[in-house]
Amino acid sequence: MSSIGIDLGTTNTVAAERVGDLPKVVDFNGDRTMRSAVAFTEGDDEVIVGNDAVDYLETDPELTFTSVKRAMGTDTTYEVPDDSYTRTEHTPETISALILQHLIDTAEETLGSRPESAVVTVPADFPEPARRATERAAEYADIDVLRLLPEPSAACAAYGLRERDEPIETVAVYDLGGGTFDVSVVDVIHEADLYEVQGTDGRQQLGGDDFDERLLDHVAEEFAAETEIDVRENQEERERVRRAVKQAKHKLSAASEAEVRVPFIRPETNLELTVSRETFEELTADLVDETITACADLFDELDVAVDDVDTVLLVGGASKMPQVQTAVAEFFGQEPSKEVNPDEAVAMGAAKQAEVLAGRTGIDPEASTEGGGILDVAPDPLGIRVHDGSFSRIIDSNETLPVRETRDGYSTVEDGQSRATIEVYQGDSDRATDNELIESFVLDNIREADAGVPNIAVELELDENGVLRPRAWDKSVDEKAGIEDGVEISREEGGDAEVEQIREELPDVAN
Amino acid sequence: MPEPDLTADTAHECLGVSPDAPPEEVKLAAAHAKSQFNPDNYTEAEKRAARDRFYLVHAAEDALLADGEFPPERTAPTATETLTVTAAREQISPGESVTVSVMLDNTPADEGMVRAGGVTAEIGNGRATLTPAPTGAATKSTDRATPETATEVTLTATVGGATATTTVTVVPELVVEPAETTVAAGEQLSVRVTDGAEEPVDGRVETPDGRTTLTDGEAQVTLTETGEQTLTAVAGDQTGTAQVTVTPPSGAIGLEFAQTTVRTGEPLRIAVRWQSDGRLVSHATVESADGRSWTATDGRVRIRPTEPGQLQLTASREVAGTVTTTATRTVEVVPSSVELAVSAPETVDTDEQFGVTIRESTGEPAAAVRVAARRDGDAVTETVTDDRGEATLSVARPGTYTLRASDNRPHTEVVPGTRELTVVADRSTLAVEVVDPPTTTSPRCRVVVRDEWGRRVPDATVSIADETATTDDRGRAAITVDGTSRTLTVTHPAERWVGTTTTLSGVEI
Repeated sequence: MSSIGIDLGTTNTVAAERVGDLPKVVDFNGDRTMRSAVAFTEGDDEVIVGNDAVDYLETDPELTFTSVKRAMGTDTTYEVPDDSYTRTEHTPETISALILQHLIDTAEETLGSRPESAVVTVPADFPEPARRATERAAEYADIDVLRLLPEPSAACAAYGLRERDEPIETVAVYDLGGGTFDVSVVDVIHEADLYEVQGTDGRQQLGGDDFDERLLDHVAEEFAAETEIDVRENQEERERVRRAVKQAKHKLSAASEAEVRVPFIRPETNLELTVSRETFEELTADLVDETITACADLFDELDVAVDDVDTVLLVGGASKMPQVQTAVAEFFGQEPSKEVNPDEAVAMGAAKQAEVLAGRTGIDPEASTEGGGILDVAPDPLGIRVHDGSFSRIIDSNETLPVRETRDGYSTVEDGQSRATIEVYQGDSDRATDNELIESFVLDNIREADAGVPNIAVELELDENGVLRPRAWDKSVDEKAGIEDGVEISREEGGDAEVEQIREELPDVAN
Repeated sequence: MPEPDLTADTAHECLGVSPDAPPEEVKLAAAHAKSQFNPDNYTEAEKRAARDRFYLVHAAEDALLADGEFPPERTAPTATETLTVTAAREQISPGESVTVSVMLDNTPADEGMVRAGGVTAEIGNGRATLTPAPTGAATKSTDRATPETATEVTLTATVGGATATTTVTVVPELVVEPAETTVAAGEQLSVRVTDGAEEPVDGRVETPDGRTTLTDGEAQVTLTETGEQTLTAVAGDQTGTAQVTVTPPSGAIGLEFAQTTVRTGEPLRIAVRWQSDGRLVSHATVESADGRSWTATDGRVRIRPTEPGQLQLTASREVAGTVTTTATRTVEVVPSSVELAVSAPETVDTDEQFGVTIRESTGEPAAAVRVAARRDGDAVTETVTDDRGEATLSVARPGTYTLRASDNRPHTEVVPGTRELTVVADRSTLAVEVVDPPTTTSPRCRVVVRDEWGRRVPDATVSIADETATTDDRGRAAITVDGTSRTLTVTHPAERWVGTTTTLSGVEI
């Protein structure tokens, strides 16, 4: 029985295992990252997953799915118009399950034993429905999720614990992935092995792919000016140029210019162009600026000054671009740390936590560890709807779980009112109904009095597994109404039988 | 290291820091305490207590660093203890006893009593067992004191000053009357089912052989297993049972074939019947002389003889574990023949990989069939079809060929299928696309080889200096770039391909 850490990314997925001090990254046929892509090949009930699936974007774009993480927790569906598949309608969860299945198969080959449980990372501000969808994806892939972890906390854990002058280190995590950008501030309390997320901001639709797209547009326009061929009009040609452009982008991280070369893009015609780093930086300057704006927004919102940041971590493959590193260094007034590998930091941190959690046996001081560990955070505020429809917040976003907060001063609106329905919402809006209704229950023993006289207290508890336990009581009566068993937020109906059926209907992974 | 004190009255004491501790020290002490009470570090039973401690620490930190209160304003309500009473079963039969559990909050009650009408029982160790008396009015003057319909009985638990109630439903049993108490296996048995008021009921009768629907309280059942068997009647919530003795059947069994001759590979349908009345024999076993055996669950089975000749089959049925009755018959198995059909393109290029599909005259794909491209009576290339009857071939030289599919099968005549194939010469220049250029840290270079139309070309040879590699079925190859040479050469063993040379530009190693 082994446990791994999984960074299930929008564009790339990385997994690692840690045994003692030796981390091992899962190797995908020579690559340490796997593209989060699934290709439904025609005519059989089998899919190709990962880096090999990228080839199919060129030939079968309608049957190849990427970036499903953006749709997690929504009711987006993906059609597979091919009768040879048992299941022709897919959800972000089932596509993610196929990615996880391939990951586990590959992990079994490289690590020697099949992982049965995992710590899976999610963005710190991933909404609860998306978190639950991630857990379901793992369930379909037959992996036991030990814990979901915020990605920035995991990156900090990979960065490691060391003796420092400051016992509390304030870390800024700048995470520019393939498709998303996140910036977070995390307080790391080294001696207690505790990571507390202070805040997160970002751009859901900004990542390394946008840099590729800019360079692709530039190359396509130059080539069209020369030959009157627009490679963007043909899917196969566009994907071939995109791949060449990606290589040029990687080359530009070290060289001042790079050649984009696609042989026989049309019969008898080669695409050959040279791009300078200067041009590339001009083409993408506004993208870099956008990430810096997000950083500035975060510090405006937080009670922390940019100068208070002790360490800056760069995470995500796209953070390797020199213009990004320069802009980050300028904003923070310090050089980012070079101690973590941007591609692997999150998976490494998750692997470390997986080792800790899997080793836990209980309170026995001889057997268990010395405490500590990474805890998840509440992604959005939790509160209740009050009479005028506004949202009264009880638990703030980014609170470390478990958390329990009580607020009183709620009252009745009618004389002699003895019952009140308490509706618990989660979200960012000040209007309750713009947020998501999580649970409602009735407090039915309010003391008979004039409107506004009783003092009703509401307590919300969100535990480390995302289970909510709301309670309420009239402080002058002292009897509680609430839900003792707790409700798992956004838990969908349908039990083991449904999971079993979905598992059976998922296609086999052929590679 | 400060030790948290969870019984303290002030936030400072709770975190174990001095009243003038600076914020940094408070934060650190709180971090240690939270880390210590992280619920992940505790077993399921201890998690709740760990969380409560975690919250207290959080409240103390909030009080000192933000605007929280300590001790937290969470007057845990001191409501009176809640008494709950739960019956082990929601439904009982008349005269049956029921056990109830009585809990004060979450602890078993150990005093008080439970009452049901005039019957009482004392509570001990959180439980009490009692037999509710039949409600007087419903009692009939027959020897069965059975109420006509279900009645609800209220159970009241009294502990100290608190009372709580629950209910159980007393459901009368059905009366099940078989026409005979002894019946032969396989013989029909008439069963009558009535309720407490002797009215026929609709529902079903369940036997080890299955279910039969009741019509006007009557059903005909057939039992096949010998020995003491139980008949269970079910109608809504009500049930009832009766026992019957099933004796071994008398008489012999017979084997019946749908055909007198059968071709190899085709199904032979067999029925096994009781000779006395022609009914099918359930759970019969059919065996062939060469030791193979089949189970005819409902008296019917299909077998597919594979060898021609006389096939002797024996049917047997074990009755009551000891008596076995058997029957033997012989059927004539004759060889069958199949014809193969070839589908393939009419014209292909030299060295072009093309697919052929072989089907049998029935339309089924022909798996593991030999396919050859022949010229002047000699096979120039040949292969074998997969499970879908498909195979891939290529021919190196131009000309006219015959594609021939043939197979040798024991006892089946296979008529080969043929088709004309024209192979024309074609030459195309190869191109190299560098997918992953070599770098200082990774000298591995990955390329895709394509033809002039951008199609991927398998089996091309890629070489640089002394290294060579061959492209896979998607035209991919990986090669290690060592030394100083940057000239990549691509060739192909087939004559339709023209090789090419490329210089790896801008590569730093």
